[in-house]
Amino acid sequence: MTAVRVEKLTKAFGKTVAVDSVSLDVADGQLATLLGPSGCGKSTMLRCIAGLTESDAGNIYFDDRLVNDVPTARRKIGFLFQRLALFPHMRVFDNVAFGLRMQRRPKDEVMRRVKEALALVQLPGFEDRYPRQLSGGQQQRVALARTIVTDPDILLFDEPLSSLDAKLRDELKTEIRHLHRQTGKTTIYVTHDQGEAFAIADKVYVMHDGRVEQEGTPLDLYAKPASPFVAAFIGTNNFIPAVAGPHDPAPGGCIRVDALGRRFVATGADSIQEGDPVLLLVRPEDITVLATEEAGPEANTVVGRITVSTFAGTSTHLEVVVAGQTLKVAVYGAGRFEFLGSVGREIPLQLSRCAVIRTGGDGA
Amino acid sequence: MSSIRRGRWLGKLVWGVYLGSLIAVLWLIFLVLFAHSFFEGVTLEFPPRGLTFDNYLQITNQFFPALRVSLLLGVCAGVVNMVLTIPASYTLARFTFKGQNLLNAFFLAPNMVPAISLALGLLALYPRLGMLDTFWGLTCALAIVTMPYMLRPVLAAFHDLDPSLEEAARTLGAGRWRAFVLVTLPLIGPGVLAGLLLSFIIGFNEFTIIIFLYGPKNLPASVWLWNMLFMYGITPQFAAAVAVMQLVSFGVLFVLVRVIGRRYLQGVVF
Repeated sequence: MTAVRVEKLTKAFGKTVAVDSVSLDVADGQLATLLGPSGCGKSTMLRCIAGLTESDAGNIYFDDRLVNDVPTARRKIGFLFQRLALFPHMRVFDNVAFGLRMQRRPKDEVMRRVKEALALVQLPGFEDRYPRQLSGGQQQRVALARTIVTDPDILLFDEPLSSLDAKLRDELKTEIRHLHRQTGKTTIYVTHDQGEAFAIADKVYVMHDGRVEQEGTPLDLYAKPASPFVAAFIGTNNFIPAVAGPHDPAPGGCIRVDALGRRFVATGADSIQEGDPVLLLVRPEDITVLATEEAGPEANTVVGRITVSTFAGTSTHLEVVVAGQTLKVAVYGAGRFEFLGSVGREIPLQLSRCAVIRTGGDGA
Repeated sequence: MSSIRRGRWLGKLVWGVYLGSLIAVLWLIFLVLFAHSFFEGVTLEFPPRGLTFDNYLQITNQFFPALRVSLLLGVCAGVVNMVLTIPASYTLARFTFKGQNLLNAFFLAPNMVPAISLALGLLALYPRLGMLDTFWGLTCALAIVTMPYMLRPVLAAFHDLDPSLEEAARTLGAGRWRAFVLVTLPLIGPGVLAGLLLSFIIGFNEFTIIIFLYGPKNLPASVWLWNMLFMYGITPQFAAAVAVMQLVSFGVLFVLVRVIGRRYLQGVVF
């Protein structure tokens, strides 16, 4: 069992800075994801941790051991590649046995552990096939078996599911989470898919332009995005320009903001001063369509006109114009049938969960 | 509908005639000498007379030793070339660095410059190294000449190979060298074999350069033919010797196309 600590890692390719002074702290047994759009430096980060890419500056520790100069082969890691990298000239057995043979394990132990690993990924009896004779999902499982069979200290996953179709991805996502619970191995998982990151992670690092934009639990990131980029990257969000009003006196209390020609109550960053220009964030699923407008002073209600209504099965997506600003609204439950062909209707809305963040930065 | 079909048919005919005549002309050139190797006489005669196999028997004593030298040269040049070229191809395929294109062109240069310039350069160099009229002197010269023929298929094999295969081996506990030997090398095997066969054919038939560097102790087949031609002109025995060389070359070419062509695709394209 090993914790991974990265201090101010920097890596540039020519003039492009891929990773810019990034620090990570993944506790023993934790599953952390590096989440971000392509080109944000998340894969470079992972490759540096694996020793496949040499960093320019910064330190990588496994527990208290500095591993900067330890060659990949001796880092005791398991690495699952995006393109799987199964050896095409070896049978499934030899693929999975490769790492054990590198450790010069006795023959019968290799036999036994390969068998166990293939059973664990639900592919018993596939030992004699070649990788090209397997389906995409089966190849994925073989790659997974090959990665874990050596009992590595740390597991590193580089977008291993991105080449699979949605259904298979869901299945394997659950399996990876399950596997992590069973083995309790420290895992760092790179993905550009927010759903994937949230489904499996204890801790998420959102990366953008070679830096960590925000770190936290999935819930933290969802509820309290630190920047417009994070807010936009994690799920769909409505961004409403607003001006900050007075705080509640209690620490961590609510803040009043003026937007859409009226006053709202929102949760928000403590450092915001009265009068600051801010953004009011509301998720489409946090906007409720009301039967009648409750004109309470702090009820966060507005009235808008439906301009677009799209039925998506489990929900109906509305676009509602309020005071010149278009809000995305998602309606779930029985209400979703009510708004089919409802363009032009005026409806009262309640913004039930609002958060405030500073303007500035990009992505908003 | 029917006019389209006729058009297609006509197109096929035109292509057929075009390709057929190209091949016919090429093969006619090969076949003239080949045919003459089976007839009697001291010079090439027309119409030929007296079908015989004697020409082949007559050249065994003098020609076969030369043929042996050429076969060995072809093989050794290919192997030396392979050892020199694989690391170079690996570097060119895996890393990007300043002057890479220049280096690439440099490696292909032996094909692009006049052979005579290479020959005279070696002729100036070899006496000082004591490599004139030595087997290894000729081998090295041929290794240089055949380098592009090795570099191209090997480079292609490296380019087709996913770099993460070798990285996967490293994450599984193999050092760089072991990862290369256990994973990369077997997967570029077909490319290397193609390079070996191509190098062999080129080295086996080479004439322009080794005519300057050979000596009586190491007389290759191509030079032997030249000497024969010089002394006796084109005789049926000469034709027989050429036929043997052609057979060797075509045999290797056949292996290259039929066996390697297919395996290359299977082994490299995953």
